[in-house]
Amino acid sequence: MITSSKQYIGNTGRQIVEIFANMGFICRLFWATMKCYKSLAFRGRVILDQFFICGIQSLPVTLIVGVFTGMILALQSGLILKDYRLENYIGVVILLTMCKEAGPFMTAFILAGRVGSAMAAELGTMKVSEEIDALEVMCIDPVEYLVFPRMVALAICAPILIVYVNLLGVLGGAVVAKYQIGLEPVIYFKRILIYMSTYNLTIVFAGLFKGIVFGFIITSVSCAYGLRARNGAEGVGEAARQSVVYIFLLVLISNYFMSALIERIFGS
Amino acid sequence: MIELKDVYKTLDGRKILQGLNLHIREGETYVIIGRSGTGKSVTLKNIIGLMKPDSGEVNIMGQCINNMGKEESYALRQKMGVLFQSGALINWLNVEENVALPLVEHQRHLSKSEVQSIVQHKLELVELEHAGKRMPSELSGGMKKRAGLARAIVGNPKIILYDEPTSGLDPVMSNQINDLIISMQEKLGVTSICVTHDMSSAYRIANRIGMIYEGQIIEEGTADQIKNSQNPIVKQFISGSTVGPLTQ
Ligand SMILES: Nc1ncnc2c1ncn2[C@@H]1O[C@H](COP(=O)(O)OP(=O)(O)OP(=O)(O)O)[C@@H](O)[C@H]1O
Ligand SMILES: [Mg+2]
Repeated sequence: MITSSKQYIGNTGRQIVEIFANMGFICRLFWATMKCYKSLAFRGRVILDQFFICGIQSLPVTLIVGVFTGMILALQSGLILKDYRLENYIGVVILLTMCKEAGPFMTAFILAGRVGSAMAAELGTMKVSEEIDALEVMCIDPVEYLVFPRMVALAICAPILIVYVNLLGVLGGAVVAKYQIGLEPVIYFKRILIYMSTYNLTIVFAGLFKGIVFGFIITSVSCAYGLRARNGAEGVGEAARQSVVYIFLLVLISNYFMSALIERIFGS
Repeated sequence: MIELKDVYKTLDGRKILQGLNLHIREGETYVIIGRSGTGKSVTLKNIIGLMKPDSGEVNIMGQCINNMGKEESYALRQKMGVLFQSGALINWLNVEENVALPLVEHQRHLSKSEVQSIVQHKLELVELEHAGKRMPSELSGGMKKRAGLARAIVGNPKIILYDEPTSGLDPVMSNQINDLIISMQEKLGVTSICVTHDMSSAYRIANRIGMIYEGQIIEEGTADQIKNSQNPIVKQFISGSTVGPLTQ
């Protein structure tokens, strides 16, 4: 009993130390990647390839996630708003929630699961099969050759996917508003348009900025874990799994601080 | 040409290299033998600069690489070619693109047709001229190694390092690789270091053989000297016997 709890504390301690150690490596990798900006033109083709892999292939799953996020938001907020006879405003609530929080957040999670883990596995496989070493021997910087194009692609891709998720969320919300709450779509969208034409929309677009940051987080973390993979296939799986957990944590934490900052700067 | 002086390296708390000394002369083929996990690949990595020794010195062509900056070490690495244990071909590029990679990345002034002709020539040297369009996943182990070799020599290196070039190959293919290594030495005049535990290959290609044991070179000499060594560790290793100092 005592030994096992001691062990537990020891393990937890080690994991916390590891998290900070990894943080250092991830930050250095991010910085090294940023310094590769000069090769933007030269890596154009790879960036485009990655853009298709990360973006276009994520469209089907984001479609479902977007629609259902909007639906559940409409259902829950609709029931409350109806009690106060404010159901006409469901659309506005959904628009704001999607653009500020739910859209960026859900997109980041999808990308972490779909793209982040795949990236960690891909680079991990390259690491354990000595391909990364081979690049270094050929004087090709793996950061510039592998990480940089992925980061650029994802930083472009994430905001676009967020817009798409937001739109789908608003549409999904309209469906639920009609069939569960009994609100006509005409009123739903009219309220949204009125809101958009009268209020300052900076705060809505600030959500896209989050997308860029999430893109950076996802690539830095998964590439960092991939580049440090060891022990063959097992290590590759481990890298993929750990990177996803790590991305979830970072997205969650950074999202709070970004929201707080955005509200502070642009909020009324 | 290549000199390791008193190199120590500890990985994950385990002492891998413990005062390794090695001197390789220009133009020779030096074979490092030793059991699995004794640090042969680690030795190679210290020579290429993928790992830095904890203490000791690595000198290549008169330059000490320990405290070298990125620019200098890149310049030096361009004079070296490495054939990795599994070929280490980039998996989404076909054979031609893999071989062309160092040229495309570093010699951007070369035209497409110039790159193409260099690549074709190197592929002919390793007898892969017909497999240029294949992907690495469609190649046999021996073809991967030959493609890896073509890529290693595309920059006309002065030094080639081979990490177990014949492991996992059938005897005929092994001998083809052996012949290739010999012809690299003869045709291109390169200095080679080869890590292997395939003794027949070692005898065939080596000018000198060194055996690594407990982080040091414990015996060094020509193929004949190694064959007739009186050192019980070397004797057991080359005979493959299960009783002896290696298994105690
Ligand atoms: N990057 C690393 N980090 C930690 N330990 C390592 C690393 N690389 C190698 N090792 C360890 O160092 C030891 C020597 O490894 P090395 O790859 O040099 O063996 P080897 O002699 O080449 O064996 P083989 O013939 O099986 O290739 C092994 O026990 C290995 O686990
Ligand atoms: Mg090895």
